[in-house]
Amino acid sequence: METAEKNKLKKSFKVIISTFFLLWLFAFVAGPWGERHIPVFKDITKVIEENNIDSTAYMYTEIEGSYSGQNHLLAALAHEIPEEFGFTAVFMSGVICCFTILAFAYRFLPMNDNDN
Amino acid sequence: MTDSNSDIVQDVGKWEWSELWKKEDWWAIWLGLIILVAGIIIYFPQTGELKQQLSSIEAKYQAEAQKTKEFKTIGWYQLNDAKAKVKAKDSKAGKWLANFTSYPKGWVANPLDTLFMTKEKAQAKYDRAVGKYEAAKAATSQAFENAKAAEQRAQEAGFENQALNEQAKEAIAQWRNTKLKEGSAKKKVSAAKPYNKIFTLIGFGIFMAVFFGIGMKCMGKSFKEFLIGFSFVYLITVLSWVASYQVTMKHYGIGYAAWAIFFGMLISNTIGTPKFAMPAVQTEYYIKTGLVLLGATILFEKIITIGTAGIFVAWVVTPTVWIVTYWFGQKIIKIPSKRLNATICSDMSVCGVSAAIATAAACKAKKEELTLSVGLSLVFTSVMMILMPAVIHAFFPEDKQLVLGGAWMGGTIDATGAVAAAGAFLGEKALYVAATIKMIQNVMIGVMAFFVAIYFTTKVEAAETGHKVSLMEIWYRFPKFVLGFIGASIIFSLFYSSFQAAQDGLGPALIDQGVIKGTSDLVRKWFFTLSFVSIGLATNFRELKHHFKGGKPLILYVFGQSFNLALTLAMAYLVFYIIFPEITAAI
Repeated sequence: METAEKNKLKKSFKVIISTFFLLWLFAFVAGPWGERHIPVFKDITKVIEENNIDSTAYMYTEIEGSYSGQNHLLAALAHEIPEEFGFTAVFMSGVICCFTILAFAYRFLPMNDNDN
Repeated sequence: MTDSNSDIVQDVGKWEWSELWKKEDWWAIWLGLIILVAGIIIYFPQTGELKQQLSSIEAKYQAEAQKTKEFKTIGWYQLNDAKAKVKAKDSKAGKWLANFTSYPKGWVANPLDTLFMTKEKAQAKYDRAVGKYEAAKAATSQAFENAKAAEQRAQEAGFENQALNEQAKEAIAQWRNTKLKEGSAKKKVSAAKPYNKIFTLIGFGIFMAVFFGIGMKCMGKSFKEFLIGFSFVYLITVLSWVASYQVTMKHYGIGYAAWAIFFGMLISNTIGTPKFAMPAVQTEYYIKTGLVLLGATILFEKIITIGTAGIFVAWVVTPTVWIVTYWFGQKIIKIPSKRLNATICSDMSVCGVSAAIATAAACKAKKEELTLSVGLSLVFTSVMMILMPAVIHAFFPEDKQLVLGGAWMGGTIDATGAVAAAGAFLGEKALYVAATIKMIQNVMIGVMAFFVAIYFTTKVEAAETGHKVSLMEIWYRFPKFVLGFIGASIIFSLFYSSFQAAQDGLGPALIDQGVIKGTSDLVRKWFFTLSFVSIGLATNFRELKHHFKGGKPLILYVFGQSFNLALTLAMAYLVFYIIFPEITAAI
């Protein structure tokens, strides 16, 4: 019993060590190789470094570009086409479309595999 | 009551007032609320001062900014740059909070760089960065002089000479590019300072342990056992951040969520999760608190940012793709779990990990179902971040690469970071369009999470239990934290809009760059990482394999994403080039 547990523990540590070795291989050998050889990727990594972009971010609040983009686009639209800027009727039709689609989905999405 | 050992959060079908302090859904709301109220107390007293700053900026640049509509003048850019610099979080308290809650730093080859940097090393880094900064500064200064001269020539012709206007536009665009580079170089110089993160990481860990521990105690669990277990979960959380900030991992977009699940699963499926850690393996508790904070970032006024064209790309395509993919999952490939189907649909059509978390919690998906959805999203995000700009660069007409390409990537790549990287590769305008479309999609999280919560509570659960659900039953079963999530979104949207109405720029300065970035965002990602570590520590690899049976989740994701790619491209072309070309011209 004790030997079986010892063997299991040994196996577990072997898995952990080999996983960390594979990670090391990716971080320092395969990954950088890919960066150098995959077309476009080299330029993307350069852009990431130059602009200090957190490419692992999940939400807009984690990216500076979202705020610069927002400032730029809002000001540009307000400056050049003020009559079409903001919550206009056409704009609101897009929002209404969204809620109509969801209402339709609520009513008609299949509950069972046999539903139409 | 939620059982920490079960896979699903189950609501008991009756209401008791004691739920307000005994249920983790409510605790998530209270804890989220405490952080948001703290943000309000710290930053809102600056309202008067910031308003005055913004007014003086307008007085200084407004006339210059509005002297022509032919092109965006230097004054126009200076006005917006100056406004963007007004941030509530730049106060002393804001800076202290940012330092206290900061993540481990980035590193290249030595993992210890993530925790501390000596004076000598910082000096060497500074010396390397300062040369580039000086060069960038000189280039900006030269480009600024050229832009000023070109604008002057155009002005002397009354802005009626098209050739001179175009020359000015071109010179100003060049100045902006050099200024962008100067800004990045400046950040690198500022970052080259010695640091020691060890004590702040320990301090912040203790803070979080006590913060969540109080709720655990009130829910009838042992405070002491939670603290002991939390130390282990927190250690894996820090390790996940260290891994995600290694330079190669960062380039491939492999973020904290992936590492947290990976390290958690590696431990639980090899040596096993230590028993003493189990009291702190509280996936739902951390995730729901993080989601209440996420609600505050869902600001409805953001949806007007790119006008009508943007709303159609982000708010019409997204629900359409969600519904068609969900239908495909149920009817065609007959995916066994509706909750897995819904979580993959949100993660693929809305915005990746954040949407997956919100949807999974709203429909009470299993931990393995969330893990699978997040895993699929992360793999495809990395691939699409490289492929999409390459395709756009190779096949799109040059005049359509920035706006059409940006909108296409913003609407389809799951994670914001990858969207920004791919957009920046094409150019500044593509970055702005892509990041903005993604931001509007981020706002969709609130709408989709609410829809999913209502749909699953009233329809799916009713079908599963086999009886019609009354209004009270809906209330019993409804995931209460969604109220906190939606409530935070509504309250902060109202704050944002009223500040904006009082003074243009005050909303972003106080809400975006105050309460959100200066308080809730500082801790939200930590909370999500704790929850992903907990997911990993509680996930058995065999159970995960069971959900992947027949490759159905992969087929679902690939179908949905292909449909998303086609529909987003068609819609973006239609709205940006056929129906609203004036919007494209303006941006």
